[in-house]
Amino acid sequence: MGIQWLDMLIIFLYFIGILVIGFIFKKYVKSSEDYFLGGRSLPWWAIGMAIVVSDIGAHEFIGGAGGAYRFGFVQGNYDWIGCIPAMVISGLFFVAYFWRAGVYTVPEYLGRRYNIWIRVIQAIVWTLFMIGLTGILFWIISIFLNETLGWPMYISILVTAIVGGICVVSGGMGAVVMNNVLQLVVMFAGGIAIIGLGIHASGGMGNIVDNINNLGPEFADHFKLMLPTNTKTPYPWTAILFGLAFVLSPAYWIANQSIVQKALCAKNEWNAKAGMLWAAVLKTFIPLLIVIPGLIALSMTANGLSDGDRAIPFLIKELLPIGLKGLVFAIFFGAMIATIIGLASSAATMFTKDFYQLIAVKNKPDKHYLLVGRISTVVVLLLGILISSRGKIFENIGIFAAMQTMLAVFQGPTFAILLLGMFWKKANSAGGLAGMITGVVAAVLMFIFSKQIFPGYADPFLFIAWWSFVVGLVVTIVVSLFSKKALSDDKLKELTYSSSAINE
Amino acid sequence: MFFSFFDKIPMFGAKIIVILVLAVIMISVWALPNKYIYKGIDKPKLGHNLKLWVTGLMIVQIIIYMIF
Repeated sequence: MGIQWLDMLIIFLYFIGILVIGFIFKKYVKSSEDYFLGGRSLPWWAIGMAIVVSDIGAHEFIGGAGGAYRFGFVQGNYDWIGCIPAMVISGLFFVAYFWRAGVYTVPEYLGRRYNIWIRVIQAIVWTLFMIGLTGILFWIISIFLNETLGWPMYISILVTAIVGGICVVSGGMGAVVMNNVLQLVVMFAGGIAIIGLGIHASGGMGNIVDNINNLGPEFADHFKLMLPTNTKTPYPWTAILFGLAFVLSPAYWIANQSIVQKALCAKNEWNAKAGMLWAAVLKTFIPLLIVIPGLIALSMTANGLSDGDRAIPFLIKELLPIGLKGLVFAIFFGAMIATIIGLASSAATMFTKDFYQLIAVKNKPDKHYLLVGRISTVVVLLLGILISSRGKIFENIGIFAAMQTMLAVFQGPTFAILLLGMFWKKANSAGGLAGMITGVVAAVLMFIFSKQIFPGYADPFLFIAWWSFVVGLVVTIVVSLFSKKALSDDKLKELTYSSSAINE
Repeated sequence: MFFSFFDKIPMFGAKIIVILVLAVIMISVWALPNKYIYKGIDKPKLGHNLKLWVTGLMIVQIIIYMIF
């Protein structure tokens, strides 16, 4: 496989670095706030970098490059129109209000705004999703290391779980964020190295374009960012704009606990807002690091890979020299660890704060909830390992599409109630609950009958996201108008946007 | 089937719609009061003005969608 002792030494040192960060931050973890929110003390630049790593990790590098290999430049929409506008709205409005309200989780905000059932349902759904995603990420790691190093799958998964688990359980969210900062720096360096060497090996960007264009008419749209409505890919421009930019992306950047939790670690409101905007600045460059490697692999192999998700492992194996190969291995391995520990920490936060402390065991000393947070982090990792053993089912439809499909079921309705909860004072408890449930049911039904409702689309998850959002929005409005207002004006002022409140 | 209306819009028109969305967000941010933008900062400097951050971000996005 071309891995030499120098590469292995670099990988080993990288793992040691992750463990050291965990042990350094252990001394700062004295309370559950320290463990879950880094003591609310972090600066904007660290928050922004951590948010980007939480989002892209290695699954976007591998799955995103795989998407670029299959569909081309259109994959860049996930980071541009599919992120930047939503991140601006999330940072300037939602994150600011979450930070002001002093909540630990997004479901906690929804619980205060609507009712306890919405909080618990949201927490359960998001926790299950994060456990599922952790399982998928463990599975991606095993593919990656099997392809590049020939390691057995269980070895890769166990090493990841042990190194990442020690880091997050010791140092909490502070360690996760600092791990992410380190990760982003080396990730950018490694991504640039792969692109530089790939373009050089291909004889220049012009050759890459020519090679792909010569593959046949089905590759004619590989350099277009927006595709017509009759495209056979899952990404017609209408789906990108309505499903991704208007629904899935805001839902993701506003409601995703693993993202928002980093911003809630900010030392003040400006740092929370600026952290999200700094993440948007960094995200602007991410498509270059993801899409171009996918296109380079397509050009070099003449569409010869068995699966687009194998593009990045192929490039690492073929292009990188000794030493640099080890560094890039460490980057991707580290990126996966960073994403997994972020997910595990967020899932543990929601379990502890939105379920255990809220319903199961109330009024215990803070040290008790700190211990529960640590134990539940370990349990999330163990469940992820269990799920990863079934990960092969995702192979045929592509990792990225699989994750987006999972998100599409409940993100539309969640965004609908968050949007109305923040900007419409008449939205109430009954309306929010009805909107969320009917929206999710509508999404599930649309998935079941997708061939009849959306003929001609192989994977219409972006349309389903849009329509489940519309259903959730309409039902919440109608039910709220015909039921009693539940919150006092003082409470509403604290939890909803108004022109008078933003001046305070 | 639900978006058949948009089938008639040429790709140039689709680009214009996307660019308009970005431009509306950029302009809307300037309507926010400075007090809200600087909340948490005692002595604001030019670099703390998040409206400028958003403007820079959106201009880059608009250029990208104009080119590709």
